[in-house]
Amino acid sequence: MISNKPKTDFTHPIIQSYSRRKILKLAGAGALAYTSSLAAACSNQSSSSTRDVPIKIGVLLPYSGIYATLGDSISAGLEMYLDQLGYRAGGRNVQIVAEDTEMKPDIAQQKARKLIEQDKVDLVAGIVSTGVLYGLREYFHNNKKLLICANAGGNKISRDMKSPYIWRSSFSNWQPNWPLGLWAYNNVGNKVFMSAPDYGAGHNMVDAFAHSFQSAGGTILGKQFTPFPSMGDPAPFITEIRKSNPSMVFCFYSGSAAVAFVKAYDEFGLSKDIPLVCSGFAVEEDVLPAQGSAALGAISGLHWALLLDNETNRKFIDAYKDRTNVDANVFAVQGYDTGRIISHILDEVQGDTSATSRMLESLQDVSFSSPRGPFKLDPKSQNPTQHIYVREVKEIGGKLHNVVIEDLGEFTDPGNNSLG
Amino acid sequence: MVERLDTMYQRLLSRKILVAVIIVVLAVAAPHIANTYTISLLIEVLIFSIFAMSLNLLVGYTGLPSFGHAAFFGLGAYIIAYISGVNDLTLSFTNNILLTLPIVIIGTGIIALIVGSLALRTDGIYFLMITLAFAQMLFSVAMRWSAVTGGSDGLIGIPRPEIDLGVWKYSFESRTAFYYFVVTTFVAIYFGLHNIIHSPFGLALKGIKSNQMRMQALGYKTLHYKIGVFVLAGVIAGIAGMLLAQFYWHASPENLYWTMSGQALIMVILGGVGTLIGPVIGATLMRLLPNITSTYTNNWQSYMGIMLIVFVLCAPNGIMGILLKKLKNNQ
Repeated sequence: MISNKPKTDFTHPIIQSYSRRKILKLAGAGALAYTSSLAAACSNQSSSSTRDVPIKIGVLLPYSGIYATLGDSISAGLEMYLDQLGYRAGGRNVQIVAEDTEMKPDIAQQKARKLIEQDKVDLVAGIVSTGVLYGLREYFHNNKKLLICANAGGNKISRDMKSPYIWRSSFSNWQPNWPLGLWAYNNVGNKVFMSAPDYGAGHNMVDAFAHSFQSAGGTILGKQFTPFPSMGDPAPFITEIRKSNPSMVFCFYSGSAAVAFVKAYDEFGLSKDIPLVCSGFAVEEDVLPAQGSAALGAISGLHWALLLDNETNRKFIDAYKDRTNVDANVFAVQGYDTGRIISHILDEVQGDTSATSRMLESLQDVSFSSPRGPFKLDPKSQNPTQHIYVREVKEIGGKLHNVVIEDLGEFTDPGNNSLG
Repeated sequence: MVERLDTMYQRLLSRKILVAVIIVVLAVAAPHIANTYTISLLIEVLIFSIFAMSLNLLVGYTGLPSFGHAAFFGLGAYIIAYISGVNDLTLSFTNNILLTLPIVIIGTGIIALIVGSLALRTDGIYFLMITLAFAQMLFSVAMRWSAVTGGSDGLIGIPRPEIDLGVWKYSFESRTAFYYFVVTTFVAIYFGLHNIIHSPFGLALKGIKSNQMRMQALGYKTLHYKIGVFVLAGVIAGIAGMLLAQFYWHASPENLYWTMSGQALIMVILGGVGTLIGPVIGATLMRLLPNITSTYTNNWQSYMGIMLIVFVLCAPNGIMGILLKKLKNNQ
């Protein structure tokens, strides 16, 4: 059985008794010791002074609160990638300095300042919630510091709030849902009822799905936006859905709200008659074990699936399971790819992190095969160009997993609001 | 006897002046000797000190246990965001502090007047519940009315203030300039409050705290006094919120959330209820401690909790209570 709490499980067995912070410090100390001996060894050869110091990567993630699992998964993915490189990139050692944002914009601001101004990190990665991302936007923009966003999907950061210094390794909220709307109209039904939590991401996702679904000729019977972060009793919302008698339901939920909604949907008997189509996060690997059989048959769109059949993914999920003892999830993949993008940047500038403009330039041509399939960074939206997959929750070997039923092809955020 | 008291007073005064001079020199020199991060922390500490001092007016001086003070803090942040913020939702009307500050003051003042007139008809736990309910109501408006407030994302693009006299213009854009702006505001509010507390109005507030019935019997219209102090506290919290939004370039619904009210209450209790400097000490601790400890542990909030329990049980008058006791014993 998959554990629902990978919170403390991801450390390597040998060093399991250490906390993450201690490990980071150890890694840093090791790196320091290594570089200083290296520097001593080749002190006759003139090497630039920066080579002696490890490159510091600041990480801003929630390690407490409702999205702690996301923060831990992203961390684990990122560390796994850097570990595979022996914590070296661009000819220098690499060190991580992690701080907890607690999901609060003001704490995140303070921590960002600490990382950049006191710890002197060379770039920052992380950010789970869009509120925090938008709150930090001006700081990174005004201080000309590079931020790689590893989750928060707010559309605006790829559109009117774009900054040359903020790039995203994850997705825009538009990305998985617009293609899904079109597919759902052609394959599931033509009358939809939509349900999402009442905050930025909920509206973004509903708007994207609604746009392609309506353009194709579908009818939207109703939309409901439920209280965020806690939805409370889902019964009245489920009743409202049933009353509208749709041919399918679209929803976006995440974390504990996803568990509550999907379970209630099944308990009230709707899953028998009305297909549930959702944004992939609502039935992602982190919530599936808690949802259990209630999630069976749910169809979702996302940029990755655990059982996605490609070589990079097979290697990734095995290595991740070995390292953490839990199955990978989409957030771990995003962390892993963030590590890859960072190492690409550092290689391109040969470890010279003072060359900000060259670091930004190197982001223009990031392209590799990710566990999610072919992955490119789109210079226009500063967001990935990636494949979107339609997945269905099925039972495989006694466990529930998302099985890919169709690859919808490559999608890039339009960079404006023309498509929802 | 009179002479001795006089010299003692003189000595105390000269010591006070010495301390004041040192503080002023340090405050002015800070940007030149400390690194930028320390200045950031100082700015935050000063802003939260202003916020905590305003709450202390209610809790400490008048005995009104408000649990919704973040409402005015957040309101200040959203008002400045709406009139000066540069994005597609806001008015972007002006960034001239000579106009924006009065608007923030009047805006928060009017809301505080309305809320105060209703809430202050109750006492104790009921007052606490009404203030909490009002703040949570504002929070959900901020979350849901996204066309105006930006919803959960908040409002971004708030510039640092500037003074524009037509012929002469100065912008507090740089961190150092903004630091001096915050320090000036803090000093003005600190001495303003000092005077108010020692004025007949301030003394009446203390009277209300210790025995409201008696004050009424003496002919004081206590409700008017309480509404007055509620508006004053709301306005000062609004100014603190405005400063924070300008510092972060961002107003977020979290500024309105009950945890923000809770944080301010803890600052007041930890530092010392009913003293002017107490909330400043509390705010300093509350903003600096997590910052230092969070690098070493993820559980700083647990330690904070233990510390708070110890303080409430052993030193109900906070750090200032302990310091004042020491000072008295020495003399």
